[in-house]
Amino acid sequence: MSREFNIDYVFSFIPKMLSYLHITLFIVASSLLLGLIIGLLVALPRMYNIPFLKRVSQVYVSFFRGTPILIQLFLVYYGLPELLKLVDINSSRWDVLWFAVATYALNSGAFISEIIRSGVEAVDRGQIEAAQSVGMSGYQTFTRIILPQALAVVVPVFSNLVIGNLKDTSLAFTIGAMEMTGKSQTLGVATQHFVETYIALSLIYLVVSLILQKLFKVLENTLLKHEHRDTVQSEPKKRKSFVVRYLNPRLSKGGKSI
Amino acid sequence: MSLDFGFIYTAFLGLFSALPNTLIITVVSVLAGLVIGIITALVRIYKVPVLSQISHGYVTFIRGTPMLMHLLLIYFSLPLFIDAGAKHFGWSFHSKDVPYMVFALISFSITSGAYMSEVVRSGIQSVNRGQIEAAYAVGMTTWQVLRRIVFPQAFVVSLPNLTNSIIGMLHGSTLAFTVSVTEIQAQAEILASSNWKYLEVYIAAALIFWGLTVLIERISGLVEKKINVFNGGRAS
Repeated sequence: MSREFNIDYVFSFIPKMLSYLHITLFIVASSLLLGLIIGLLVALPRMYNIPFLKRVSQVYVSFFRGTPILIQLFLVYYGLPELLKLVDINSSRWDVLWFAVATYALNSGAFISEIIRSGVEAVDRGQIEAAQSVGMSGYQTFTRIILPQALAVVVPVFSNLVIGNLKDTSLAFTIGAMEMTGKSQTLGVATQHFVETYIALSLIYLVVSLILQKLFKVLENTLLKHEHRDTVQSEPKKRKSFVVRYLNPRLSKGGKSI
Repeated sequence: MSLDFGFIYTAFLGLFSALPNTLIITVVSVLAGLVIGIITALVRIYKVPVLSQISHGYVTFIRGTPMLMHLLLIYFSLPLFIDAGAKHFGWSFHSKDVPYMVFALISFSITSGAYMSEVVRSGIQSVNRGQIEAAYAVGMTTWQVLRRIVFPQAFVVSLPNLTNSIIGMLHGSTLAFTVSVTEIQAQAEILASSNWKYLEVYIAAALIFWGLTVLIERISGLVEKKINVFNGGRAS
């Protein structure tokens, strides 16, 4: 099936694949940015209980969380050109990369809308009322009271999503996008050293995701700095809403550990 | 837009023949993953010297790399080991005798094990320390404490995470097409390329997965309700 294992190939493959890392990171970053916009738009009708749109966003979220990303890739790859034809846009010469970005953006949009919702729900209702009672506007309440607290709650979940997205980009090669996994396929076929190729690729993914994890950990600690001080001293731990626990295993730890 | 709705239905029926493979992959990897997960979680919680470092490395590696990598690594490296073993010990079977499905099952179980270990760990750690001490105080053995006190409560807490992991494995099973296992994704590709109706086929495939996911979520919701009856209606 493949030739004798040779560790040297692993080292020679790493730089070759690293030269495609920026494409992988580009997919992650651009899909997250677009996903944030989509997520916000989708979360709003549900938070403000807007009749028809609320249903639409529920179906959207359920669909993108309920189907495999691989199927979504193919749906977008074959479906988007058809939709664009309706508005007279010819997408046949577009780079497949854009289809990958569109899929990951739609996918993360669904997850991000849930993250936004859970973050906002985690903020105590009383605080919002208090903010309004001292005369803050809706915008002020949001930016000064809700957002800082919501951010601290959602960072760990968001970190999981980003790393999940990074790993999901490995599927973009199935529609022909040339990112790291796509490159690894061509390297593997060219040299017939598949095992070495995938070891090299795994190492790159591992290092990148560990770096991302560390960065988010630092961010989380910064955001929670003030929180730790008061909770340790006075209040007992507040119960987080079900959605938060559902999304984030790390928050579900109640009681003391073994 | 030319969408052949009739063909979506035809594809839907055509894809059902591949459903058993998808379900086998999901069920086997979840169950095997649960076993691996419980072992690695316990090893880490009890801080067993060498084993806990190994499990930590295993969980970190698996969670830091895409599932596709695990599958491809197993698919390409396991035959090398099997063939080397066959040559060395004179076994009668070679890597070509191993069905592709076996590679998929092994790899997905390894993947699922790492995620399950985190699910199990957070579940077990949510059990109050005082209860465990109380159980020891009335003379239970460690195994009894785990089985009667820790596991039942840990299960309740980790049910949502468990559901997420099951759904994750269901969705992950689509990757098996890369090692030529005919699950729904592979069947979809076959149907699509022989009929030139790609969009319709993938819509049908998406509907099947969506249905399965909603079903799993419903079942988990019911189980959760049922469990919480004994819990005085509290969430956990």
